[in-house]
Amino acid sequence: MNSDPSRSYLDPAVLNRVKSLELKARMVVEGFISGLHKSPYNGYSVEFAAYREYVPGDEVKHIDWKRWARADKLYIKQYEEETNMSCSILFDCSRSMAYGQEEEGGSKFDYAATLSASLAYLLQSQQDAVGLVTFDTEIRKRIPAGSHPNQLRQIVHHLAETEPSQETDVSDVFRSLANSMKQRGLVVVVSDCFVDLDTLETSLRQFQFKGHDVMLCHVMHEHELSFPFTENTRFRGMEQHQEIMTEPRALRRSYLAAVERFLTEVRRVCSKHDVDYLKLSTADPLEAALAGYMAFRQNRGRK
Amino acid sequence: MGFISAALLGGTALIAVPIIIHLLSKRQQKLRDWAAMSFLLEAHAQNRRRVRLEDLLLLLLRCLIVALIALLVSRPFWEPKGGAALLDQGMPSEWILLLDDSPSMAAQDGNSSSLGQAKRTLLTWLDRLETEQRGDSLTLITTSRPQMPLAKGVYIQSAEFTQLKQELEALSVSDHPAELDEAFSSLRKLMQEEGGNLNRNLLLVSDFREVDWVDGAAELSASGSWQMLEELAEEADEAWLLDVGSPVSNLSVEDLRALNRQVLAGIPHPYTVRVANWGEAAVSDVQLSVQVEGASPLFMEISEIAAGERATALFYHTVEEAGSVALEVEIDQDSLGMDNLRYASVPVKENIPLLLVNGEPDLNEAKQETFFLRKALSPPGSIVSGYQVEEVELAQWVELDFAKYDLVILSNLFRLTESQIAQLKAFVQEGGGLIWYLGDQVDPEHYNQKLLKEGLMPFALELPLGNELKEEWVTFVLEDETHPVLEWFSGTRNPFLDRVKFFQWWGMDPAKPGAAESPKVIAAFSDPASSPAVVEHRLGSGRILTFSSSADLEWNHWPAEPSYVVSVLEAAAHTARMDLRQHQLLVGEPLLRSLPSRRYSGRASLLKPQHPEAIQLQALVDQQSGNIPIRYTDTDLKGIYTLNVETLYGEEEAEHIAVNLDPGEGNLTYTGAETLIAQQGEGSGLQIFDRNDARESSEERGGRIELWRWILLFLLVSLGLEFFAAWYLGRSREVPA
Repeated sequence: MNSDPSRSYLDPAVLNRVKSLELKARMVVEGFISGLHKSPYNGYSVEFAAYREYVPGDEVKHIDWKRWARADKLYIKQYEEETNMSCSILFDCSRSMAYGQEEEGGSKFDYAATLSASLAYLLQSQQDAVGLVTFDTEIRKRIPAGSHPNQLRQIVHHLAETEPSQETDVSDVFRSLANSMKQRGLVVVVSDCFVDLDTLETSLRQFQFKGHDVMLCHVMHEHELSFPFTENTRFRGMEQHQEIMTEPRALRRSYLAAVERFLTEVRRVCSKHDVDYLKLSTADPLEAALAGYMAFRQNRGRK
Repeated sequence: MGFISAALLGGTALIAVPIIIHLLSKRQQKLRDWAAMSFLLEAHAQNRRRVRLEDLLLLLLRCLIVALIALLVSRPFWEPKGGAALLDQGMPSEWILLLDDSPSMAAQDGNSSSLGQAKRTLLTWLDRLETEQRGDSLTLITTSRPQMPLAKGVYIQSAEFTQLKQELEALSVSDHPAELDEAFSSLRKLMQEEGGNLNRNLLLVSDFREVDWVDGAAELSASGSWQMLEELAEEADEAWLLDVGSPVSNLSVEDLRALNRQVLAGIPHPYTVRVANWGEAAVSDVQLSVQVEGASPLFMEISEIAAGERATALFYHTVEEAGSVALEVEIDQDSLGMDNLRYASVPVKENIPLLLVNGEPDLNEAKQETFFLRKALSPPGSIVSGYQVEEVELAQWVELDFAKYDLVILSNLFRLTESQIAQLKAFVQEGGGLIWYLGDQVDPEHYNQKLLKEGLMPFALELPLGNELKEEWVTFVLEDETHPVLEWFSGTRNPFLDRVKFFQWWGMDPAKPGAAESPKVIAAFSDPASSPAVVEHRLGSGRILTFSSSADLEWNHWPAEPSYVVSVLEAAAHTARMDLRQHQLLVGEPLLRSLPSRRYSGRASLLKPQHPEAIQLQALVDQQSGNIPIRYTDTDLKGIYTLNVETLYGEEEAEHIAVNLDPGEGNLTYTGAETLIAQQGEGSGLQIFDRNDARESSEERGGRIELWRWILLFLLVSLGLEFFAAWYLGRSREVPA
């Protein structure tokens, strides 16, 4: 699979060198698709489209048994997909997302933007309605969900234009996000979740209450997960106005333990409110994110 | 505490280096904007104290390492309370030195002797005292002559002091054993004397041998000398012990003597040499060379002497002429040379003059009471018995000069007159020998009333026992098989004695001793009463031997047996006058002679070893005893002394006297001052003067102990700790895989 050159575009380090977000998104999605089996890509609807040979991994319920009786081979019935699914991507532009701008692997913001664009592209290509909400301390811009071909361009354009905010506290807006989502559907939240966990839980509960299917793409920078620093460093808080002078190696164990506790807690909160949780490191290929999304779709589809 | 390169101690300032590095590293830190600050703050709050502590520990270790390196190159030293510390007192003191110059101080350990080491240490120390110019004074006493101090209150820096140092340098070991008790008494007197410096310090220099300082071999208990020393230490302001001894092995000739009590010219006599091995290992092939005056040397070998044991070598020698003969034995050189030599002086007589008194004369010579005795003591023909026999009948005993006899044999005497008894008693008391043979002429009443009372007879006589018709007989039973008189017949030779038949004898009751001193039954008869047959007792310096049967064939048939001659000769040799003891002295023992005034004029001269000139001795007659007492006390050298005494006729008689070392000096078993202090002297105020420190004390680095080894060790430990701490902390801070 790795021999396919398009697969390399899933590597964030490669993607980071591509400027155009739209191009990035296309490369990601197509790279992703080219590596996938065909079955999950097409939708399942009432209008028959074509037969396709069964491959392991297809659901048995879609096998056309009559056709099997005739041809002695297993075929899957494929249908023209129709959807009225609406998916909103809630994109966190807070200051903490800017971490990593000067690092080689890029910032969390860049990673999250590429991810959001890729998702939008994937959704668009499936004729789903896709929308985008960017927020920091307040909702900055809202692009309502739509399946118009121009929709993707708007989203990508907006993501490309957006810069991480100087604002830090996103707790209030987190809480009010659910209220702003009028239409019921899928909600993909892309954030580093550096908010108060109670706030996160409250807003997730509200999403659940409103009947949204929510997926949380928890974007963490690789540095935040591994803390690889060795030299004496003065850490300056991006959201808190505090500084620490320390030898990072001395604090690594405790720091990693604290991060692990935080991740566990976030995962617990998500699980509690039936939110699909996907932890992403900026070093992870975006494939994981997209695969996660696909699984999410399938899970929700089965319900 | 001091530093040889104190300037380099400035390197301690380099302690600042790790601190500066630490501070610089703080300054050079990188600034990083950080999003996940809350986690970092949490971790920081948890670890702040631990991290600071760890960093501080590392910093301190590194500072310590730098400081230790600086300390190491500056070479610190420590001055112990030894030679150097002796001089640290502010007040001028009088140093009272007691130097052991007994023969054991000549023991060689390596290239130098104990005394050599002592002298070197003392001279170095005295130089130091001289340099200090503190007004100290010095008194120096040797153990050989404690009454005559080499120096008394000599002020350092005076001309006398320079002379004293020369004397000390030239001082050699004396032959005199350490008279510690006497030395301590002198010391006490000196310390109590007024004048001189008020502070009085005592310094005792000795090799601390077990013989001098420890009583009893089984358990270490300090001798009386040690207790005296402790008392002295309390009186002195300070008391120091300089121990110059060390454990060395040693062979020593302990004894050289003629085995027989009487040595006669022209007859081979046995001599013994006893050699002691004081070492901890057996010694083999010990070569001995014996030099007898007027004869060629004799060489012998002792194949092996076990550790701590003694071995005896026996040799025979015939002295051709009578007189005083000097002997000298020497063994190979070892650690202590002085005790490898031993001297002896043996008075050799032409013969032993004896008086035979016949109590039963008879015209038929063979029936005379003394016939067999005479034949035994003075055999006819060319055989030499060594005895010059003069015989008288009892009736002829009127005016006899007993002084010329060494032995008197009285055979079957009826009675003695008062004057005879007095003469006999005086003769025995002065050392003459007396032998009684009894018989049918004996008047028991007279014997019991007179002779027993004067101590001339051992027991009271009872009745003649046995069978007159010679139909029954008894034999000898040896009561003391080791007694020289009948020793020859002990063991396998006993049948010689068993064959002898005794028909009659005088019954004696051992339960009724008279004035006799400790009578001893040597042989008894085999009759039911076990009547004493041969009895020995002492009177004054002489010995008396009593045979309870006759000397002829009248009461027994002993004279017809071979054992008769042997027993008579042995009895005579054992009993005759003996003054060998007087010819052997130890160094320091006075030479005493009591010369009869009727023979000697009182003028005498003494030739001392190593002294070419004779020492004239003059003595006056002691009116009470009628003798001329000669006394010479300065026997401080070992060797052969020759005493020439002048007779009334102007003739000179020479006598050798052997003066030997105390055999104990050869025992070099080392105890050591430290052991003695540890065992006995705790809290006594006695301190050890370490000779190594004292030796170095005049050098530039006097009396100092360099500490660099310890610092280096400490540095290495610190480095190890630093490496370990850095590794451990680094490991705990590694990124988990």
